[in-house]
Amino acid sequence: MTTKLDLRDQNNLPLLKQVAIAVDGIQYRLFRSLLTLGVVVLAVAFLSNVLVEHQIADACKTGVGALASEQRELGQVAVFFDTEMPPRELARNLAELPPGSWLPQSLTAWMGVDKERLPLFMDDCASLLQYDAWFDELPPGHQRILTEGLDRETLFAQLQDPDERREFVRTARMIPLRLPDGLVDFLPRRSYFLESLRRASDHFNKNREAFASHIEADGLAEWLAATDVETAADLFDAHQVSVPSERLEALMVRAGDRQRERDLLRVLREPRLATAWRDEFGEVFDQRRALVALAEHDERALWMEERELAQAADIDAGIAVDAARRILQTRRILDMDELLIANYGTRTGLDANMFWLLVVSFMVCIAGITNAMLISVIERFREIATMKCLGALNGFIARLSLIEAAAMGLVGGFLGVLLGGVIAVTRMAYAYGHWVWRFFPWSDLGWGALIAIASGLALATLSALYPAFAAARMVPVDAMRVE
Amino acid sequence: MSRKLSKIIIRTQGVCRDYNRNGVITKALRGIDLEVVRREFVSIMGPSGSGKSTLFNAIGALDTPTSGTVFIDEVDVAQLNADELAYIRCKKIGYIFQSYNLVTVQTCLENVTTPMIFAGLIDDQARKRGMQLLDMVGLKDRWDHRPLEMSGGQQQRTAIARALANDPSILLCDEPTANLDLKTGQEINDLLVRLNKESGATVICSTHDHRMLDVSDRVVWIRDGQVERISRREDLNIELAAVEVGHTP
Ligand SMILES: Nc1ncnc2c1ncn2[C@@H]1O[C@H](COP(=O)(O)OP(=O)(O)OP(=O)(O)O)[C@@H](O)[C@H]1O
Ligand SMILES: [Mg+2]
Repeated sequence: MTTKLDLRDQNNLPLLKQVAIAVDGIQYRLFRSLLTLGVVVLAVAFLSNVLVEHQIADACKTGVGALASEQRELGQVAVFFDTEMPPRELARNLAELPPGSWLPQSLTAWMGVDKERLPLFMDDCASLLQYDAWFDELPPGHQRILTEGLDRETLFAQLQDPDERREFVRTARMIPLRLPDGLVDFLPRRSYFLESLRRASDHFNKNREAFASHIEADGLAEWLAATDVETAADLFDAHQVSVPSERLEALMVRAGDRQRERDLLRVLREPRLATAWRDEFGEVFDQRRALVALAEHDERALWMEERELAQAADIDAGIAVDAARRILQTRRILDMDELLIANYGTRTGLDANMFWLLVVSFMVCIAGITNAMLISVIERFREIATMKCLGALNGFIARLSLIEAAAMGLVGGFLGVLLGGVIAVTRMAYAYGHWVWRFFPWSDLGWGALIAIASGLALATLSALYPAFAAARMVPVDAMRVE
Repeated sequence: MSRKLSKIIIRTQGVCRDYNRNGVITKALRGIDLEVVRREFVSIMGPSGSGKSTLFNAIGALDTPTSGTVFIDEVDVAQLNADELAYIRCKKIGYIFQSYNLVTVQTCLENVTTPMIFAGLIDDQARKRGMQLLDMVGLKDRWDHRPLEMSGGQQQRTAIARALANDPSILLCDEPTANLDLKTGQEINDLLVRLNKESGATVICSTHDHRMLDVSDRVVWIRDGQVERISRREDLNIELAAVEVGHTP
């Protein structure tokens, strides 16, 4: 005789109920639960520590590297535009830009030009210079004939009119003359180009001019020059404006300490400032002394051009060589900085030591958690046996242990991530200083935390698999006999 | 054999159980043949170490005999898989252990409702029925106590309420009063008798307690893992006298 047993009812114990039972158990055995939790926390803390340090180091390396190169380019741009620039000079500078060597963003932002149009703009600059040069190279007689006493600005302006241009070409054949290629193409664009150039230059100088005019209006410049030259210098420096009057500038350069040696460079490079210098102080600006002073200065030497360095070498070879060496060294240090930071960790994943450390610590964690879970199961042998006598399914017993482990893994994972993260950030802050905050990899860390919590969960659950199924398969009597 | 087959709820055929501990074999049961009829109150009597608990485990499908067969409702227990065994333990049999075996983590009420939850009852129903059962065993106002906060008698009564959770047709008791004082033991005995009479559960009860003999339909005497004799209620008074004479110094 066979009896059909209806087993369906038994399987629908709701998950929530199971979780509640498991959580009850955890609370009741709080002390041992805390021990297990501790193991999970340590394991996950270690993992997240490694991850977070890796990520922060990576972020700092990349960030500082990018920053260093950006700073260098910005520095170049700053030197480039350091002086107030009339449109034509700006055009020259733009035309002479080696292609691709400047940071397009900073340049375009600086000038208020949009990025796509910049190359076109630079081409036009080059054309303009080319035609200027062409005109300059004409023999004076030709220039006279062509322009009838006009300067080249007016000449080129007139040539924009087709009739004038035809006339010009006719005259040119008479003298005889070869027009440069492309001139005729360039001319229609020219007035528009000059307008853009002027606007760019205006835009470029606007901040400085605003400040300068403000100072001039208040008579502040005179007052400053008369009373406190150093404050004036600081003020101009802080606002990155050029000094409004040459007299004041000369005063400041003279009164300035070594900090102001960059201004020496300006006087050196700008003849009009040298004139102001002479007018003001009744003495000739001593180029040689300025060169040596610049070369001797630690930082300012970096701003010197090769040509100037060569001049300095003519005066005092020793100092110039030292300066050159410093320049080279500084460049190298800039690179070294990057290298150092890059090598603090490894950019391409974990090295062998780290790998084995991770593997071993994972094993220790698995052993620890398995052990803790085993003890937890053994501790509950009686309870489990009783539950089996009451009709608990094997699956339920197994699930109970797994849920407990998963809860441990989740909570432990969370705490572990916090612990590991805090330790990692502290250590990294010690190693990298303020860069850590500047390049803090928030989103990466979020993923790292998720990964660490997930692995805590997986670790705990995996470790509990064996104990859980061992518990589930026990024969009730055997289990009950354990005290 | 005059009884109808279907009236027999438990039948054992030549059940043997050898314990092997480090090569030393103890024959705890040596071929037990037993039949228990529905609604019967059977006591199993025997000196300590005679194999009562071992038999209890075999009948209750908590252990596998070395040889022989146990039929519950004419189903060979050895043929059942884990889930089917769980079903039998959940719905057909209520167990009462010598040492109560309550789940210490749970409250009194939770202990009683656990088997109902296993049986697929929803929470509210389980609580309601649990309170009824606790009322019946006189522990209604203790429902939220934990086992360790209760006396032995209260714990055993909780265990009885738990055993009744799913209206089992069989109540298996292994020395339910062994750890209790005389008065409390008597209360438990009375409770079992009442259950047997009122709900019609078959009660199989191993015991040292001679008072149990009065109320049993049959008494199975076990010695050295074998059935020594089986006495019916009618013959008992005479035997009881003999036993008491035998035990009186
Ligand atoms: N797990 C075991 N391993 C080895 N021998 C066992 C085991 N359990 C019981 N025994 C032996 O089996 C025999 C019967 O034991 P059992 O527990 O069934 O006796 P009992 O009649 O219930 O005794 P008591 O009245 O003291 O509870 C005893 O001799 C005991 O030593
Ligand atoms: Mg016993």
